[in-house]
Amino acid sequence: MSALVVAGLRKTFGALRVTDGIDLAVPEGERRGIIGPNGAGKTTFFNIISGWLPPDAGRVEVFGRDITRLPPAHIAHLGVRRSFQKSALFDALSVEENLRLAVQATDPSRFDAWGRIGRHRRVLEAARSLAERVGLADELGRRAGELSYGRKRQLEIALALAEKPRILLLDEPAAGASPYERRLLADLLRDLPRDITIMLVEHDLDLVFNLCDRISVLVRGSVLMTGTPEEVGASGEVQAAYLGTAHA
Amino acid sequence: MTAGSAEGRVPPVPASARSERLPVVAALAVALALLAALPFVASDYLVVLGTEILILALFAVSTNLLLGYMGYVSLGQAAYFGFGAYGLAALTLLWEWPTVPAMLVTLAGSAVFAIALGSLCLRTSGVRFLLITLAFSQMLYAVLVRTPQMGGDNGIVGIPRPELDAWGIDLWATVPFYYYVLVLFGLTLLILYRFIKSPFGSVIVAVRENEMRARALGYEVWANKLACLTVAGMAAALAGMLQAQNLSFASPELASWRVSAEVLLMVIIGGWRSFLGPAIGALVFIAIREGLSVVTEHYLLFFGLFFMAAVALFREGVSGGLDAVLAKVRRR
Ligand SMILES: Nc1ncnc2c1ncn2[C@@H]1O[C@H](COP(=O)(O)OP(=O)(O)OP(=O)(O)O)[C@@H](O)[C@H]1O
Ligand SMILES: [Mg+2]
Repeated sequence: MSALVVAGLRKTFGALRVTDGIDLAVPEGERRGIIGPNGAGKTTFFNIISGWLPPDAGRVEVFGRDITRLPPAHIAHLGVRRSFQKSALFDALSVEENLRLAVQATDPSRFDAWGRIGRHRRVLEAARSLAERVGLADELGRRAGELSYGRKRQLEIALALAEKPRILLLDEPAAGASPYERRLLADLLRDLPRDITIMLVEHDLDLVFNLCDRISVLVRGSVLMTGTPEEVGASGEVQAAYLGTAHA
Repeated sequence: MTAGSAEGRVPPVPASARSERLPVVAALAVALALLAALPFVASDYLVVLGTEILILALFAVSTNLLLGYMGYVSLGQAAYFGFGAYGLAALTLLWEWPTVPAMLVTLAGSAVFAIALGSLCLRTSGVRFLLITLAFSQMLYAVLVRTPQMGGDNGIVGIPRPELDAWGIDLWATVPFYYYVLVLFGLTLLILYRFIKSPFGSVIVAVRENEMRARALGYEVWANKLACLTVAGMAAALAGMLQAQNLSFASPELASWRVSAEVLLMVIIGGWRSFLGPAIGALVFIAIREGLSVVTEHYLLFFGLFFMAAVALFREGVSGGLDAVLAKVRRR
């Protein structure tokens, strides 16, 4: 079964056709890279899938269910989680509190308006083990806003990883990361359970080519081609439209 | 380093959850104990002032749920204050209900009022939220001024206090009324505190920090925001009822934008980053009013100057300044 099906998706901003008829099907468990030049409409595509932008036309289906125009929180509850290209953290709160809020978002305890936070042990423990997993265990008490740039990116991704997503949309997770941080990130993503479907938007082509099963090339709002890393790497069309221009 | 350190590394209960809770609960307990002792050591005049400070402190702490915790500046909290005062006045004086049922029904009514108003106002944020809350409170003010049954702009006198004669308590006496206000103050603050520190309430702070992220994580933030606004509105309505009983008088002035602005000043002076800070703001407000109104009727001018000084000196209000001083002392 396809985890994600996108059909005839269109979105314009004024005269600009940012999403120009995207058709895509991603099988469950696949790691799909989305590459394309700046302004190709990658972030816009994610924004439509995750409910932040209503499309002008077309449909988005998740595990056979139509989610077009559902609100973002509802889509998150269906297991579709995303990270943002520009970190969106709870700056004044500690790393631990950021992670706890991420875990709590899908836990029944989120409706508890009277009990103490400390009473919900499972949520706290899940938040801490998430911190261990992404390498933030030694920063639990730090305010998110005080973290270094690289650590902010780690936290940004960790927030999307909480409570086992079914479909993970990662928008340039490696942007601005050092080579060392990139390696940590690559390891982290590679070690994720194989049944999580991943959509990875990334300009770091090494990361995409090493991690992804297949890659879709997005140019001017539509999918130029989809194929294995080898196929995409060998395509003259892609070279011309993307690699040639972006990596002159 | 040592062999044992790996095992003991993850403490079972997060220090952050604990360290924040204890001082507030302790501070609240100590403050309530001191406040309970006040009538034994102070003159009636001070007890009367203390009563008003408690009422305004309750109002200020509730307003801070919106300002400090949620990050929404409402310039219409006086609407709930006035709603409480006039709800109680209407039920007891026009329909001659007994006082306690009238208070309970007014409280329930304030929840409905807050939910209705909140559903409209919370479609906006920032300056537009400030303006729409101001507009709604001014509408209520205009209605009150134009309601002759309620005394129009003269207001209405004779707001009753609960009848506790059966227990041998006369709430028309200064000290018993003070304790009555103190009990309701302590109880309400405890409820507000548990609410805002609960899992559900903690989402309200997340909304302040980054509403987009909170929604992306899966929070239907409107429910948290509406609940926060409703709880704050109910507490403000209770404060309004107590103020009407305190003055035994309700006037449209209670619902005016000036009252909304004053309570914001109290919150900011006292400190919006702490739960009890705004209560200190109420104390400062009354102290300045009492101290200066003897000398000049333009006490608000001086309050404004003090406000500027507090903001310039402490950045996070008087309570934030006290925190900083205490931290310095402790480091010695
Ligand atoms: N809300 C908006 N209103 C108007 N134009 C927009 C809006 N959002 C995006 N755009 C435009 O749509 C185009 C695609 O933007 P988008 O952010 O989706 O590209 P992208 O592929 O993510 O680029 P990058 O690699 O730089 O992140 C850009 O030209 C952008 O300026
Ligand atoms: Mg982008």
